[in-house]
Amino acid sequence: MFVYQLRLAFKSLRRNPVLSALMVVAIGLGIAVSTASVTIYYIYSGNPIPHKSDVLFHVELDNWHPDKPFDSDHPERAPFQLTYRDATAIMQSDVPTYQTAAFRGEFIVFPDDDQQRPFREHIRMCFGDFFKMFDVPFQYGNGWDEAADLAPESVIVIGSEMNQKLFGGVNSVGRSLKIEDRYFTIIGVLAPWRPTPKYYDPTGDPFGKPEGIFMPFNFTPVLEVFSSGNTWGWTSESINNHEGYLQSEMLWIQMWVQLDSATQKQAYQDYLDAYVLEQKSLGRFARPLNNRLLNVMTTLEEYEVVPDSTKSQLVVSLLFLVVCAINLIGILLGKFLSRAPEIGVRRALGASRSSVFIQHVLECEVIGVLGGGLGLAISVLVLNLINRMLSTGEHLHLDLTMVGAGLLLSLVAGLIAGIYPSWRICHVAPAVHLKMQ
Amino acid sequence: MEFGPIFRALLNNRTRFWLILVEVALTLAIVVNCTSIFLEKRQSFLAPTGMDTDNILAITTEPFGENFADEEFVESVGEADLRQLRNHPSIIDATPIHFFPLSGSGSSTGRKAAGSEIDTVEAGYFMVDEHGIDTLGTNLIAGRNFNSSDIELSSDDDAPQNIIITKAFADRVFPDGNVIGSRLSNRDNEHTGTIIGVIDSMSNSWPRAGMGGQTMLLPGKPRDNREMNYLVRAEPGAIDSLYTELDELLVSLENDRIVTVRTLSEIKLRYFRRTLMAMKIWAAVVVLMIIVTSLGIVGLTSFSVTQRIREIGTRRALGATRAAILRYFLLENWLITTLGLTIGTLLTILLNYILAQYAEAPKIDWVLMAGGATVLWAAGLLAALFPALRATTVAPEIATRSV
Amino acid sequence: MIKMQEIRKIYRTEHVETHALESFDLEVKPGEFISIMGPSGSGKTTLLNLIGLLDSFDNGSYVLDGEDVTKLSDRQMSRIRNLKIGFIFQTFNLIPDLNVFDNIDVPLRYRGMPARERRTAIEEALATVGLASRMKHLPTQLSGGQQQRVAVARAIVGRPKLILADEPTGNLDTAMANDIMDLLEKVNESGTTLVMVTHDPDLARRASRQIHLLDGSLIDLKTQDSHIPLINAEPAALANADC
Repeated sequence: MFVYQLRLAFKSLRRNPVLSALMVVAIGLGIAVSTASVTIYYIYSGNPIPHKSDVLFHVELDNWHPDKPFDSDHPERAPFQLTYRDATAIMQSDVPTYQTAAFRGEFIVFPDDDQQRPFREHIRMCFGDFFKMFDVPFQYGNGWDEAADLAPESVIVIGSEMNQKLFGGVNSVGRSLKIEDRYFTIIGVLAPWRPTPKYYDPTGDPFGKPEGIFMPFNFTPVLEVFSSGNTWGWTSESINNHEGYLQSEMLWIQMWVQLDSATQKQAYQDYLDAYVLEQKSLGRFARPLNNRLLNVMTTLEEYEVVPDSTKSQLVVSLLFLVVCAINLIGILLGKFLSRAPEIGVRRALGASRSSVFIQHVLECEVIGVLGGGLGLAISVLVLNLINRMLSTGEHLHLDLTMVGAGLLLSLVAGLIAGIYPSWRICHVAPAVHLKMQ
Repeated sequence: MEFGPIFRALLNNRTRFWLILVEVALTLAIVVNCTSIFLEKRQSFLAPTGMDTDNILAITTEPFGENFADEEFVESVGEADLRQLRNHPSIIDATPIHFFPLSGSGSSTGRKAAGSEIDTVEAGYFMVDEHGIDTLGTNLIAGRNFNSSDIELSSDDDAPQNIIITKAFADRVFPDGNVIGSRLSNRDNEHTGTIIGVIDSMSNSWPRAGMGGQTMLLPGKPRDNREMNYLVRAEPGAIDSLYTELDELLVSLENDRIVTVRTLSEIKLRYFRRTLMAMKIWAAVVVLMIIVTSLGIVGLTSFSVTQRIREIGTRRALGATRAAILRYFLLENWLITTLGLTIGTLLTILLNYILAQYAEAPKIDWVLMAGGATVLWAAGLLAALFPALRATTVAPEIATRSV
Repeated sequence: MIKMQEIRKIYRTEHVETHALESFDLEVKPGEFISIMGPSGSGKTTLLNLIGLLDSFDNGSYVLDGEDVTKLSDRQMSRIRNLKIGFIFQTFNLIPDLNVFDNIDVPLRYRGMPARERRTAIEEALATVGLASRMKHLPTQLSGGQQQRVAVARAIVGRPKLILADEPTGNLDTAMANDIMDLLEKVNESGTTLVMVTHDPDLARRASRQIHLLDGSLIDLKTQDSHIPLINAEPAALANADC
């Protein structure tokens, strides 16, 4: 019976191809715009590491001006970054499963061959745990261990694009690369990796590419590295040299830990509180105790990585879909009611009201699904266009979830648009239309 | 003008009425809000920067030679660079600088009038030498430019500097006037600088931000190998040739460094790239909405005409001329559109409120609202014209047909 | 009232030419009540359309109420219909979205009558048909008989000289039909010329003169009242007609 009714629905659409095309386009346009917006919003606000987002914690200590909070709109928040002193100090804890202080520096890289000139590259200074914590995928080799962290050993890990650029993409593990004034051995090459957003460091461009090179954190004093990310300070200090920079109250280091259980989390919280209290007795940390451990999604929320545009586009797109649905209702009403005589005959021949209703709702759903297909195709084009316009290589794409969402949207739109016209047509009295011959 | 009957008829046949009314109302809300956002973004992009943006080049040098560790070497290279640049026939002036304005990268801090109780005001700041103002193309409206002793003083990190600020910053920090010679302090009331000059306007590194026009210029010259960047102001028309020449020129002076040349316009475009794209999207949405709604009105009105052929014939039989039929349908459409636009005005404000809570939304300008309503009113009229004209072709004898 | 001469109506399509009405003459005096009878397809409705200026004719002349309406523009015809003719249709043709008051109001609006005059006229017309209490009702809330009575009110509200009724009782039961016929006779008695199309011989006999149509040709019949002269008819047809 369902197949029969489905076939009837298709036949009805084929009977008036222009009108059917118009209906499909009407709803398809609305689906296209909404799906594109929802996809963009979903990608921007999605969870970049869902299987671990609740055990990874961003560490914040409230090291700021005694009289004014870091964010006056949200006084309960602490600054996002730590000082070098504090980061290196709390790295001593043995509580977390994994932990890393990290920041972004910039170095001159001297490629091996004479064809390439030296270039400037962003480098992430971090500990070996970084790769384990954030499930960073390796194509060749692996990260470094604690001993390498401590020394520090002159080893680096490079990203897949960097590997392509320097070595043509071959297995470059074991080769050396000159950075600034010394040579580093490559011990790992990453597989293509682009967390969206760049949750481990949302400063700067949260949707940009990860750094191309990773180096043990403890080279910071050795190479006299300054942060090329955000640096915040609440007090004026005269900083004459790198040592002064490291010892200052400038905040430029992100700290992440992995805490797998509630007890572990509590233990770490206690550790942080004890540390800060100790520092208070030395005259630091003038603000009230406010050490925070934020999971991934909360961190992203507080950094406000989702651009406002995206949110307003989402709202507007859904309203656009409503307008398209209204147009579809209008067309459907016209089409269905002009068929009233035929329906009158069917009803006189014994078709029940509900079967007429279902028949028409089915027809609307077919239109909805066809429109959804068209809409998804259009939204792929739109997303590609946006990718190209932004030309930062951002990857806005439709994944299976979004395709599913688009189809769901089209089914719902078809239903909503179709309910009223179908209800109207099934209430047509058979007698009236039989008479008018 | 048959307003009464038309209105009563619409109330009796609710569907047609509500469909068009809701569509018009929603479209007005969307069109006005989107246009508002579009205009705001456009405004932020087109706002004057206070600088001669079209003719300025930004040069980044990244020294990697070992001798750059020596401060004196850095200074001498800096001086040589600037001398070469300033002597170039196509270059008006050049200044050393670290971060570039309009780039989204820079330094900012909070300052207040010394001794004042009010909180500090945020400002972006740049370190330039006495050629800074001319290179930037800003105008000094009070006080004086930097001189060599200001530059010398800048090497002492602890001493308060002589500072030039923008009028926007001056108005906030010194609302009573008396700017020149006044002192600035930080939040801890430490004296950090004295104002020696005011320029009319200059965008800092974040032109989109609220504090985008609050800028301070500090005197200085490159002392550190990390700070050897330059701004160069080209003679009108010369910027294209300089764009390709300059990196070779500087590398030839000193080989152990990477030189990158960009125009300030390029930097501004990159900073605004998301804004520009958003603008395109909002403009497209507005156009699309108007088209879709107009087509919708054509369709719905057309459907209405088709449903009412017998009525039209009867009216003609009762004495309506073709003009009267046209007038009737246009009037009907006018009534629905006007009611729709009225409700749309409320919806616009509501949508504006929702967007403001949840995302971004500039306040609605009443001129824009009136403009949007007029455009939609005209579009609605035009859309209804076609079906209305079709209605006039219905022959009176339809009334006597029995089917 | 009506004086038509040598009127002909031909429908032309791409392939076929249909002579809906053969050349005929028709005269109706003011105040007369005539009925037009004939089987389906005989052209009754076409004839009514021509009389009512709802359609144009291909030949001949037409003088209505002393005015030559032979070659008028659509605008002029609309004006005359509005002022001089009242229509009553088989399918009532009330506008479903308008209430009774607004329905009756329609022809008055096209006249440009001021509001107070319209209101008075409508109330009078409703009183005449006996539906004063139903002023705010919608057509769907009325029975068939009541709907037709509203249609009659609409037809008479402008005090037309001529009323054209096309099968006015065709969709009504006997009781309602009689009500309507009584109403129409009442209107006719007050001096309004009445031309009624019907297929029901009983109803046709209530008229003072009957005209038969057969395949597009008019046949006038002698009636009981011999004061009303015959028009020129084909002798052969006379011989075959019922008396």
